[in-house]
Amino acid sequence: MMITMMAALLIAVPPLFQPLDNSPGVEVRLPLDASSPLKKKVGPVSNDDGEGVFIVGLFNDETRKIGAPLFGKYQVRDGELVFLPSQPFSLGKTYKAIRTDTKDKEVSQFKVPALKAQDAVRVMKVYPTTDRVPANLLKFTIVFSGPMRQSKTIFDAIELVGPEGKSVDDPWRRTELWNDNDTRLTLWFHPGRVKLGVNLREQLGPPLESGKTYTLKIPSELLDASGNKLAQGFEKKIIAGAEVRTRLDVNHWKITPPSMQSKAALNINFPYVIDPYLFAREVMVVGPTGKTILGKASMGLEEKSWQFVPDEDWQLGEYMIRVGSEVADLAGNTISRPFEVNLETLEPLAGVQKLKFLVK
Amino acid sequence: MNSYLMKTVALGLFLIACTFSDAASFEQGKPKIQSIDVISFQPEGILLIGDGKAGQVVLIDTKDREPQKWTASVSDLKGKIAERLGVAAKEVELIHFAVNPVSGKAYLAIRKQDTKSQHLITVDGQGKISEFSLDKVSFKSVALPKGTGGAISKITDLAWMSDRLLVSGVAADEFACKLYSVQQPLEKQSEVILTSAETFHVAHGKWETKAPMTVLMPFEENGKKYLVGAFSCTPLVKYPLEAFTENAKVKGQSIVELGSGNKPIHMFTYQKDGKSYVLINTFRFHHQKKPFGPSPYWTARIETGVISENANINEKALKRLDSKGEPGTEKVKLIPEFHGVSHMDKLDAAHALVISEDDKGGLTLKVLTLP
Repeated sequence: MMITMMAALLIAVPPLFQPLDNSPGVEVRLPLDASSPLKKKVGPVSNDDGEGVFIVGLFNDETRKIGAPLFGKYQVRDGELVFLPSQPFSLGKTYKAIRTDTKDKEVSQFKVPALKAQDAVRVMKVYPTTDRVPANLLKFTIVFSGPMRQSKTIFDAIELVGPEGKSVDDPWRRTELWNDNDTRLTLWFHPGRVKLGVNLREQLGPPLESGKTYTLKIPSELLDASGNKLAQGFEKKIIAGAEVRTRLDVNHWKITPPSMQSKAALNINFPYVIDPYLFAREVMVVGPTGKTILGKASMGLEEKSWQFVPDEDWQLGEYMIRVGSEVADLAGNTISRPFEVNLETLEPLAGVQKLKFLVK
Repeated sequence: MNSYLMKTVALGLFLIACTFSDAASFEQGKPKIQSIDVISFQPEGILLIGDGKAGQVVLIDTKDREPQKWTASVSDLKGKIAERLGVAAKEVELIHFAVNPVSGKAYLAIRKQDTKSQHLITVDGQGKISEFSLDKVSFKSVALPKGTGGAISKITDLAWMSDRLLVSGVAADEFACKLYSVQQPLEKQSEVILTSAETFHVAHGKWETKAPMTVLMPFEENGKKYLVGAFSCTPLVKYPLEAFTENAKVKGQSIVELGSGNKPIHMFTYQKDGKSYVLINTFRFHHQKKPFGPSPYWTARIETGVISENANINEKALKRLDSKGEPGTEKVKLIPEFHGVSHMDKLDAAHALVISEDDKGGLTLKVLTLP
């Protein structure tokens, strides 16, 4: 009897963490005792049944405790109870599997290596790149060198410091707007502070006042996708000028046509700073036959000019630049309409603009 | 449960099941979802997921139709979910929240920060936390057209209204409010009406702009259907759905102004003691400067008679606060019992299921009586 009990104690093994061959996942296995009611089963078993044999949890380094069972599924396969976590284990964390069906609660652990040191993410660029902006500037666009962590905390972390070093209270619209790979954040001023006749502006005033200098401060404490801080903070000075509240007029743009039989750049100069992302989306060059001309477009210094180099030589004839109605300046005034419509002097909306130029 | 009640529930479940067999067209498998921005439910327990990055709404038949009684409140909710996902609490961010109106189960959309993955978590009436896996579900998706201008990058809210789905979205680069009305039956190629909305500035009778809608709610009266939208700083605006036609610019009527410095989060209608109300919770980003209570999250109850108003609109709209910043009307009441509520949804005729946030960011899920 004694020998049998000792043998039973000796063969009680902890569950085994097994990294999977063809995926980043890990499964946890335990050979079932002959006496286990699960031994005769094959395939999925309930989590209640599985957790009656062993559980797998995150090990908290501070409290030295194992957390509640991870989300996942149990199944019986080849006489083993197998736990498949629903999520891949997290880097740098320790997980423990503990038997719940034995007196000694045998434990095993699996430590996931931390991410290898990599280049820290940094702020590459902030649009507008100019330091002269209208006081009713509507947004910044912050471009990072790698994917960032989405979090509502960014609205408290990113600061706008005004004259005398005083922070502007709550300047941002608290809606996170990231591009698909989380490398570009569109940070809007709170429109209630920019728009005329809105209670927030009337009570607190606009975020920027004409003639004053401000600094946008992006702290290094912002976290990238891996949870690491930025390589360094980023600061950008801006000087607020007069507010601009008029519709964009393409007749004020200066087009410099290229010469035929060349790949010289088509150039447009603007009398104001243009939103580069809307411009890229809304503008195309159309050839004499009505076909869209393919090529490389780029914004010039301080987004006050635009260049377009065609993939193939320009040919003799009349070309057209098709400008969509949503092309906008820094204050959200578009080709179509000013940012705010004055109901007392309602102007008709403008549509797509077609700017012709001759290549010769 | 008495036998009459059991029969009634059984009949209800049978009718619901019939509704689904009629609806058909659900696929089996794993829906392709790029981002879970918001979640909501159809009355039959169909989960609606707003996915702005993919420009779609995904419908999931949760098959979760067993009504339950709430006996639990769950403290340290974020910590408990994080533990089950195998990460620390700071690695989890709550995105959105809804209650399945059939089962009464809580559904949370959360983001696991270290893997940038999004998950649906359920909490039942006994406080049991589970993962709602999207690996093998019955689903279908409704594509939202791009329309003129840029595609939306985020869905700010969605709601089901008896015969149609209402969706509001925003774009990253342009300042716009895109509203979608999707007529039933909801299918991949459903007829979708896309409009953009103009908002009148209540504090001043002169200007109007496009403005991104933060929260929306269906509203019906005298046989007419409306979309009621709430915006930051914080007007409620009513739009007649009959004005929703393709690419129209719909003008709304501002009907009540809750005050500046707030961002609305959830709102719904309910009835109590024969009167009808709207409950709306908001995040006050001016909490440090001028708090409305112990937490930046505060809730107001609005008499729906205010929303029915057709005369006192726009610059004459009802204001919660008077010129001195003090409560100026009995029709809009601040609800102290809901201080701290960051997310909420209607649980039943008399209760709301809420998530309240303490000053350290800790979350508690609990049932509150509707005020």
